[in-house]
Amino acid sequence: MAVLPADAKTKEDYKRRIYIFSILPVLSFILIVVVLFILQIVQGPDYELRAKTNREQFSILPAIRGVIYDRSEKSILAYNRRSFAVTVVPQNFPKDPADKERLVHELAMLLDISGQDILDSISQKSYSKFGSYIIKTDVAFSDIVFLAEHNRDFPGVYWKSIPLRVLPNRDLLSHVLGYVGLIDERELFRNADKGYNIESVVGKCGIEKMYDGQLRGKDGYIRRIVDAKNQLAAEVIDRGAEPVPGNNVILTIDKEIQRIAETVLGERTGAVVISKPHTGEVLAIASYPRFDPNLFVAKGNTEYFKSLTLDNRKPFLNRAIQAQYPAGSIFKIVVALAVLDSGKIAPEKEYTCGGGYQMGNRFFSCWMNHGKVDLHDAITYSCDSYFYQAALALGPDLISKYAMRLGLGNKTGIDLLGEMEGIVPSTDWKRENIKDIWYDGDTLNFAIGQGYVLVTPLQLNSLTNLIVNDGVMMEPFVVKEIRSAKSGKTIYRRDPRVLIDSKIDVENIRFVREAMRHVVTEGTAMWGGAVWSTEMAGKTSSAEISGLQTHSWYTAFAPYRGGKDTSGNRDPAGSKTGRNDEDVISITAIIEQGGAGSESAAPLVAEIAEAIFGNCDLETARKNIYKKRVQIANRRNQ
Amino acid sequence: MGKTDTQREFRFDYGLLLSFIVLTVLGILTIYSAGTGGGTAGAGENEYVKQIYWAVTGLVVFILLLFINYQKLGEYAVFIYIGCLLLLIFTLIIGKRVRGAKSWITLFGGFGFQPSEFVKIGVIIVLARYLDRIGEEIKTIKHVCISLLITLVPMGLILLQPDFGTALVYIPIVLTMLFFSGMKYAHLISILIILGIAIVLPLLVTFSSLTGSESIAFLKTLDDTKAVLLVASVFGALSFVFFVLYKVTKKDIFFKAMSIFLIFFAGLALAAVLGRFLKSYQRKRLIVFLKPSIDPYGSGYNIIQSKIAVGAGGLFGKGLFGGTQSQLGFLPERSTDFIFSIFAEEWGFVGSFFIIVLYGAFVFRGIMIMLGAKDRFGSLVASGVTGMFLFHIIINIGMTIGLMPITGIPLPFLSYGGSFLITSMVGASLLFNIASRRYAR
Repeated sequence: MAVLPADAKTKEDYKRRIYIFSILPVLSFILIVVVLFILQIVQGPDYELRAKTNREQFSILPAIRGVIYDRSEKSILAYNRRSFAVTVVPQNFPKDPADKERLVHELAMLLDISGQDILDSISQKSYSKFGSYIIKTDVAFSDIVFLAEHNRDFPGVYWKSIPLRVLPNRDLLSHVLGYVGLIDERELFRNADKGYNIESVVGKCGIEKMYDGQLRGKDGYIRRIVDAKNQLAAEVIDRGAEPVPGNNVILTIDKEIQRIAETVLGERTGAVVISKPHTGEVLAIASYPRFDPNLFVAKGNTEYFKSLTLDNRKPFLNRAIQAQYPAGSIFKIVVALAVLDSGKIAPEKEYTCGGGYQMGNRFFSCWMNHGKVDLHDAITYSCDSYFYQAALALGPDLISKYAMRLGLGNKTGIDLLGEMEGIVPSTDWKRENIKDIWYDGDTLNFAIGQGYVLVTPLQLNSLTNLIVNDGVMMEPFVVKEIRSAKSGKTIYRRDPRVLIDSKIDVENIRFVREAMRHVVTEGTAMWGGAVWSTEMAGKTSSAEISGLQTHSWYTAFAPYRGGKDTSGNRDPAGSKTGRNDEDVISITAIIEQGGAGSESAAPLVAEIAEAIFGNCDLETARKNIYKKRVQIANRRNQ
Repeated sequence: MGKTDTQREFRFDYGLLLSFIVLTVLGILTIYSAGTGGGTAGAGENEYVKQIYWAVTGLVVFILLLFINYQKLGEYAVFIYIGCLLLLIFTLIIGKRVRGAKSWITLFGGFGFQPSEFVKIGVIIVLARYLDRIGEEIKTIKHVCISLLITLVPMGLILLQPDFGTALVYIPIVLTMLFFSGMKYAHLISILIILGIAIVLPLLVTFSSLTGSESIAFLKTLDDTKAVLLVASVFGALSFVFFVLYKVTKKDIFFKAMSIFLIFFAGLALAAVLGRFLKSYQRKRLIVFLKPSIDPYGSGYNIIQSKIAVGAGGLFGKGLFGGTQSQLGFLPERSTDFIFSIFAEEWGFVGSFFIIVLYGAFVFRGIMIMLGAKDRFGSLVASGVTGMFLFHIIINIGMTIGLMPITGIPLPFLSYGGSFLITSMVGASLLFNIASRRYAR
C-alpha cells in the first residue's frame, strides 16, 4: 500500500491542489450568501408581497347602490335586483394555450359573447389584486346552473351574485338619471384611492355619475387564504369589511309630471323643463330622443348601446341643459327689462311697425304689421319692429349687460353634469370671437334673440322663474335630499338657494308679467296657449335657423296672479307678504323645427299645464283646452 | 489490537458529528413543517416519521461502519464495483418507475430505495482504490481515460433509467478525485472544456428559442446534429493530420495543435450526442433558471416559487409552520428538492446563513481530513466524499435561489429521502473513519 505522500515534491503539489480546490467552496458559499442576502434582505419585501399575492384571494361583496326616488318618495326611479355575474380568475385557467383557447371559446358560446370580449376583460385591467374579472353580468340562472354542473370543464370560471341596476320606468327621465356600468380602466386609474375597485359599478352620466359617491356605498370584501390549487386553505375566512349600502337619493322630480311631459312631447325632438320658481326645484326634465339603460347596463349587451351612439339625433344629449338654441322672441323679455330698468325709453313710448323696419338700405321684417306699438303691446304681440328700434336706442352692450344680469350666458349651476352656458354676444365678444366689428344689423338680430345669442331651455325656464319671483332667480336643482339607506336619517337636504338677485324694480317685473299674461289672453299664445283650468302667462318664440323650419319655443307659468299680492317689497319666498307662490310652476318647451312658438310648443305646454292644474288625464286635458278655445272663439265673434 | 489501541484509534470529531446531526434534525423539522399544510397542500404528512426512521437507520449504519477499518474496504473494491453494477442493472430490470425514471427497487414490505445514491459511495471507493494503485501513472492520458470509464459505466446505467440529474453529479465527484490524485492540469482543463462545449451548445439553442430572440442561422446549425457532427469530424480529421505530423517530425507544436483539435472534436461530438439525448422539456428545465419569467407556469414555475419562498423569509423568517409558500403548496417538491427554500422561508436569512455555515464547516472538515489522512487511499476517499457533499450542496442550494438549473439533486441531510440520507451518513462515516484512524499504526 502506497503511503502518502511519497516525496516532498508530491506533498507540495498535493497541498497546492487543496488550496486550489478550496477556492471552489469558498467562492460558492460566499456567492450563495450574497444571493441569499439580496433575495431575503434587499428584495425581501418584494418577495413577501409576491407570496402574499400568491396566497390571498379577495372577493368583493358588492355594496347595494342607493335607491333613487322621486319627490313623493313613493315612486322609485332606480333600484337594484340580484343578478348573477360570471367571473374568471385567469390564474386558474388551463396552462396549456390550446386548452385555454378552447375554454374561452366554450365560455363565450355559453354566455353569448365573443371570445375577444373575454380576453379584453382580462387584459384590460392588468393590475387586479383580486385576480378575478367580471366578464358578464345578468347571466341567466339556467346558464349558472350549467356552469355549476360542469364546473370541472370550466377551470377558473366562477359566478357571484351582484346587484344589478334596474330603472323600473324604462326610459323615463333617462337623461337625468343616467346609467351605471362597470368601471373602466381610466376611471379606475383616476379614482384608485377613492375606494373603487375592479368590480365597481359606477355612474357613467346623470345623477348616477354626479352623485356616485353617495349612491354607491362601500364595497365589502372577503379575504380568503388559498393554496396553490386555489382551494380554500384555511377555514378562517376574513370578512375584511361588510358592504355598506349606498345612500338613497330623493329627487325634486315629480314622476307623474315627468310622465306627462314626456308623453306630450312624444317623439318630437326637443326638450321640456318644468320647475317651481319659488324654490328652483325642477319637477320634470324631458328630452327626446331618450334611451333605456335597462337594455345595456348588463355587460355583454352592446348592440343597443352601439345603435344609440350611432344615432345622429344624439339620444344621450340632455337637450334641456346640453343643447344651445337661438332664444328667439323670448329674448324680448330681456330687452323689455333693459328698457324698463335703464329708463332710457319710457314704456309708453310708441314705435311704428310697418311690417318691419327700414335701416339704411336693409329692411328688417316683422312677422306682421303692428302699426304703432308701445312696450306692453310689443311683448304681447311680439312686435319685432318695436324691439329693433328700442335696441338701437339702448345699444347692444347694454342689452348684453342685462342678458348676463338675467342669467343668460352662464350656467345655472343645476346639479347635473354637462350643462352648457350659452352665448350672450357683445361688441367685445364679437371682436374676440368672430374677429369682426359689431354692426347695427347685429343689434337688430340681437334684439329679437337671433344672431349670436344662444340659450339652453333650462336658462329660459330660469328666466321665467325670475319673472315670477319678482326678479330673483333661484338656483335650479334636482336632488332634494339624501338619506342613509340603513337608518333613514337625512344626510343632506338641499335648501333653495338664490342664484341671481337682478335688483330690477318689482314694478318693472310686474309690467313684464302682465304683458306675458296678455300674450296668453290676447297675444301670440291666445290659441296655442289656451288653458281651461288655470290662468297662464307666457311668451312664444320662433327661433330661426338658416334654411330650416324654425324651432318652436314657449315658456310660461301658472297660475298667474297679476301683481296684486306684491307689496313692492322684495320677497321672493313670499314669507313676509304672505303671498303664496308655492303652487306656481313654470314650463318651458322647445320643439326642434316645430315651426312657430304658438304652433307646437305653446299647445304642448298648455296641455301639460292643463293636465297638472286640471288634475286630469291627457285626454280630458285636451278636451278642456278645446272647450277653452271654443270659448275664446265665441268671445271674439261677439 | 488491544482495547486501549482501539480507543486511541478513535479520535472522535465531535464538531463534524454535531454539524451533521443538527442538519439532520433541522431537516426532519422542516420536512414535518412541509407536511403540515392543511387540506390539499400537505403532500406527505408522515414523511417526517419515515425520515426519522431513516435517520436512525443511517446513524446505526454510521456507527457500525466505524468499526470497519476503511482500508479494508479498498481491498474489496472489485466486489463492490461488480455489486454496484449488478444493482444498477437489476434496477433497470425490476425497478419501479418514479417520476418517469426507473430508479427504485422495492423490497418486500414495500420498503424501497434508490441504488443510484448508494452507488455514489461505491464508485468513490472503487476509484480511490484504482487511483491509489496507479499512483503517478494518473498523469498519463490512458489512466485518466480508464478512471473516467470506471465512472462512466455506472453513470450510463443511471442515464438509462433515465435519471439525468443523479447521473450528472458523478462527473464533479470523479473530477475532484482525479484532481487530488495528481492528474495533469492540462488534462483537467481539457475535460472541462469538452464538457463545457457539450453542455452549453445544445442549451444555447433552447435558450435562444425560449427567449424568442431571433434565432440566428448560426444557432440553428447548432441544433442540427448532422451539422455539428460534420464540424466535429473536420476537427477530428485536423487532429489526425497533426497527429501524423507529430509522429513524423516529433515537434511539440504539432502535438499541441493535435490536442486542441481533439478537444474540440470531443466537445462537439459529445454535444451532438447530448443534443440527441436530451428531450426538449429537459433542456428547458436545465436552462430556464437563467430567465424563469419566460415560462412562469411551466418550466419556470418551480424556480419562481422557490425564489419567492426564499425571499419572503426576510431576515428572521416566518417561523416554523409559518411559511405560506410551502404550507399552501405553492412550492412543489418541497420536502425533497426545495427543502432549503422552505427552511429559508421559515427561518429567514439568519437561518439560511446558519445552514450555510454548518455546510461550510462540514466541507472544510472534509478537506482537513483529506489533508490529514494517513494514506493515499483514505485521502482519495475523503476527497470523493467531500466532493460529493460539496457539489450536492452547491447544485441544490444554487437551484433554489436561481443560480443553478433544476436537476433534482437532493440536499445532504436536509432533503427527504432515505436512500440519500443513508448514503450521506455512510459518506460521513467514511470521513470519520479516515479522520479517527489517522494516528493508528
